[in-house]
Amino acid sequence: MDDAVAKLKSAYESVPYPHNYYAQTHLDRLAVTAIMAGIAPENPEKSRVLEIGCGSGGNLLPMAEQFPQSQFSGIDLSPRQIELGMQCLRETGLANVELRSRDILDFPRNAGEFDFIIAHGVYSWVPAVVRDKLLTICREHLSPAGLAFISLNTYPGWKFRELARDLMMFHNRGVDDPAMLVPRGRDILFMMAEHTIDAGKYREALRSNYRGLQNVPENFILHDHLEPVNEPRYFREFARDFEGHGLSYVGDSATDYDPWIKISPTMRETFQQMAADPLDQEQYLDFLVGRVFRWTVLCRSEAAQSVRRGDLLHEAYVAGDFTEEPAGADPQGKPGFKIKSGLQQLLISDPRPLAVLRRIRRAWPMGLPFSELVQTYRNQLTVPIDEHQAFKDVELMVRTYFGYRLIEVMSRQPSVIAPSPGEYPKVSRYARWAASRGSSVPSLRHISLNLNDALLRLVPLLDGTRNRKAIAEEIARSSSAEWPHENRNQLEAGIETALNKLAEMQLLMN
Amino acid sequence: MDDTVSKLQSAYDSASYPFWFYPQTQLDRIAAIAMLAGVAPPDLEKSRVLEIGCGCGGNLLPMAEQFPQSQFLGIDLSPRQIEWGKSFLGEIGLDNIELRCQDMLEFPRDAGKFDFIIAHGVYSWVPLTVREKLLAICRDHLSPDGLAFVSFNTYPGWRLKEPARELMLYHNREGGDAAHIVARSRQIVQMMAELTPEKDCYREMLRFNHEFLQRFVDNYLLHDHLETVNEPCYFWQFAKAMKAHGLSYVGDSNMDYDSWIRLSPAAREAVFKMTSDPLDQEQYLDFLVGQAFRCAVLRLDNSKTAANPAVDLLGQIYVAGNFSEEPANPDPQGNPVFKFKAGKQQLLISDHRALALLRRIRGAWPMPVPFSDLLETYRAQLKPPIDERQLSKDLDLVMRFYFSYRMIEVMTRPSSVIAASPGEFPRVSRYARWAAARKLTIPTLRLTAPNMDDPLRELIPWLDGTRDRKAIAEQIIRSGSEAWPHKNREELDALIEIALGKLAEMQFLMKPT
Repeated sequence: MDDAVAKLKSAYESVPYPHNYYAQTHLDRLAVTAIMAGIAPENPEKSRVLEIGCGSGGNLLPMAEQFPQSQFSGIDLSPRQIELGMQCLRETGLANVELRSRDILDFPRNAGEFDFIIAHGVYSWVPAVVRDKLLTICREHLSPAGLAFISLNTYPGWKFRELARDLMMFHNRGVDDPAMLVPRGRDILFMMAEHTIDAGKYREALRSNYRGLQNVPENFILHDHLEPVNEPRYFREFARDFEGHGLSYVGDSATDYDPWIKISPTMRETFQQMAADPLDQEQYLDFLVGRVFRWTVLCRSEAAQSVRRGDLLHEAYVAGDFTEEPAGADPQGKPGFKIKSGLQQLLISDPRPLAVLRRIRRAWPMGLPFSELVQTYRNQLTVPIDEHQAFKDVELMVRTYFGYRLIEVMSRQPSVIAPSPGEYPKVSRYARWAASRGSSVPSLRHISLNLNDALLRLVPLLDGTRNRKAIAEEIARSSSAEWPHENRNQLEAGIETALNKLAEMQLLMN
Repeated sequence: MDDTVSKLQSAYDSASYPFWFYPQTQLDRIAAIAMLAGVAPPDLEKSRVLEIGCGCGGNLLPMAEQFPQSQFLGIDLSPRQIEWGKSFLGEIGLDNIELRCQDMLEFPRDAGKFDFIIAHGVYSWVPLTVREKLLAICRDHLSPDGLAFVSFNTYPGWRLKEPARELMLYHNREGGDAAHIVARSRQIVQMMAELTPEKDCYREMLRFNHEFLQRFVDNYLLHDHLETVNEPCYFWQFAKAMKAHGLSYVGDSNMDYDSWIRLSPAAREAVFKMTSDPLDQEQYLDFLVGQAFRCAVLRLDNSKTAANPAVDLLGQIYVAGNFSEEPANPDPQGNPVFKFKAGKQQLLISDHRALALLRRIRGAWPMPVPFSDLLETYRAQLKPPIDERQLSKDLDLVMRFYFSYRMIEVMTRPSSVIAASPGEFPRVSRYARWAAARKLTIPTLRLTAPNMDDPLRELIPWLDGTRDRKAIAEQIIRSGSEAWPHKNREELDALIEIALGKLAEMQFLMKPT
């Protein structure tokens, strides 16, 4: 183990990375990214999964519970993190996960093939030799239709963040105590942002860095910004690397909106004129939007070369958890509606997409088959069109709204998600385990949820053995401050509301 | 010669660097920076000067003429540029300068010692081995009290320029001729700046770069931004390399204001509290201002004279200043206030002592005033009893302050070449006449480049010290120049007198020999 790797190891040993769930790495999300690109993925429900740099398993374990027939394997350099993960494994009783403390460089050649290989937050934080090995592992251990996920810090956006990193690193020269690094880093960044004599872009850069790091957990800053290795790259350089390893680009699984969707059609055309290679177009896009991070999905080059199937999406499912409110009439006098999800919003007045979107929203938390959306769409038409055209129209709609992340696309109806609480409400063992520790919990689509204290108290009770009465009794007995105790009716009503909320959050299981 | 070096060579052969000169590399400027740091500079009049990466000599030739008893050597990687430089030398008739086409990696060990070594725009644009060699040359070839000038691109400022550079390089990944590359580069930066959907500092950065790049000629863009190698570094990294080569830091010779003076007292105090190491303080300063470029003056670590700002070197300086003065609104106490302006800098001053000093300096321009004269002026403003030691210390501080704002220039000696007034036979340097005849930018005797109108440009070639006003007027009439319209001879004489006065003010006119 060389010096840089040893330093990395000790950094994670002394301060473990926070337990986090990345929806961008969820197996079905990866599968959908492939489907969008016309590449048929493996079935996540019966797959072999490898996570490289799995930390203490926070990302892997919830998925393992959702896909009990799949096999999960996680490796991490830090024995302490793996130990924490094993403890969690024992306590949650998951049998289809194996965690091992291992240097990527020592990954065994006989480990077999994997349908999904996930490496989140690794590539940019390891030396060149390890980066190279990571791509070699993907090439040698992906099954023929397997997908690899590699995230990385990218230029040009990271140039701005490097300002802050370099400043904090310089200020912390000679400081040994890891607990001091982040507070000192924040202090100096604040001081510079306050006192700089620049009145333009440089001050803005300092300030946005300061704002960006203000409400972020310390161990996140420690690992994401202050690690000894942090080498962002341009997408095109990364692409040269993975292409050199016999891998091809499938797409980006970001949960933020797809930047392509915000680009005018003329701009897109200009990019196409400037570069025939789609990877070059991606690079121009990064220059245009100042991209700082990429959530890249890759496959073996052979899989990318096979014929792309536009119709794969027609077999997918669509879900959506947006809000709708009236927004005045459009120029033709048709009533408009504002459709909002997270930071994204669209104004829509065309009754056809509105009908499709409302149909999707009604089905939440469940997904709808694509064909059903086509049916809804056709019902709205006054002049009938052929089926092929209807599929094309709905496909365009789904791609657009998915680009804005107003809707989610799923490769299949998730068998685990419950549409409503049912008689014996149940959340995953992992969620119960996490909630009982006061941590954030993963939804069944792997979104990180920070629950309030009342819900944190409720979730551990939902093991599928208790009906509402039993749940109410448990809460009453605990005399927890977050729930009303004086009035049983009030308590039960509160529980009912909370259970419905959990169902909406896609936490409740069948 | 390795591959990168040969690429560099061909880049400079095909698109020569704009013929330019840099006041921050001027010998007396470098010497003044040393004096302000308490370091006694070498004797300018009899020095050996080396310029590394001298191009076609645009920076070295005008200096060589001003210091006829000094010896100048310039080396450059590009044979074409050196060839040009040599032909210019012959045309101008300078014999104290040698230009040589040489890879600095092959700089001969027996080249001897130099009192000044200048390397402007080299350090950041060469591979690591060459950077190291540059510092090794300074270490091995500086005379004991010699000074080196090494400029370089710095972070954090360059972090905000790199995205544009890398965009331009990426957009030109298939190559092409220089003109094509420059045009495409400007185009792509403009396009991104106009069309980015971002609204925050990323867009600001693109716009800034777009505007910045518009201001420069093509060859500057090619070499400063699109060269194969462009590796900015942090000051601390430079300082580490410098120390490893037995060199120590003297100061910065940039022509803009000194950034320290712009910091709020709280910011300065915070920096001093964080570290007592002056080099680390410089690094914090760079973070505070977003520094993108440095003009470092260095010397040998084991120089005989220790750097000591307390040593009374400042008493030996000369001060010149070409600022303007105008009345401003009175201060809250009703005292009259005056606005002093030089370039982009301005100061409001009401203190009678400061006013007297600045007016004394301005009155002497274009000649410098010795520190001792300023002491007189200062003393005259005070009521007795006067503490002479304190007087000198105070004046020292005042002069440093104005120099930080670049309101005044500091010189180590009265100029032996600058003429106070046109005299009977006005004369500009041979270099200036040569440059004017070729429509190149014309350097003043302090290597600055003021804006010149056509009448001045046309006048300069006649000012060779052999012509009196009458002869000059006859030349103008004979040439039939359109730049000198006049109704009659009387008016022409008056115009010539005004123009000569202007040239003297601009520090173009030389003392008679």
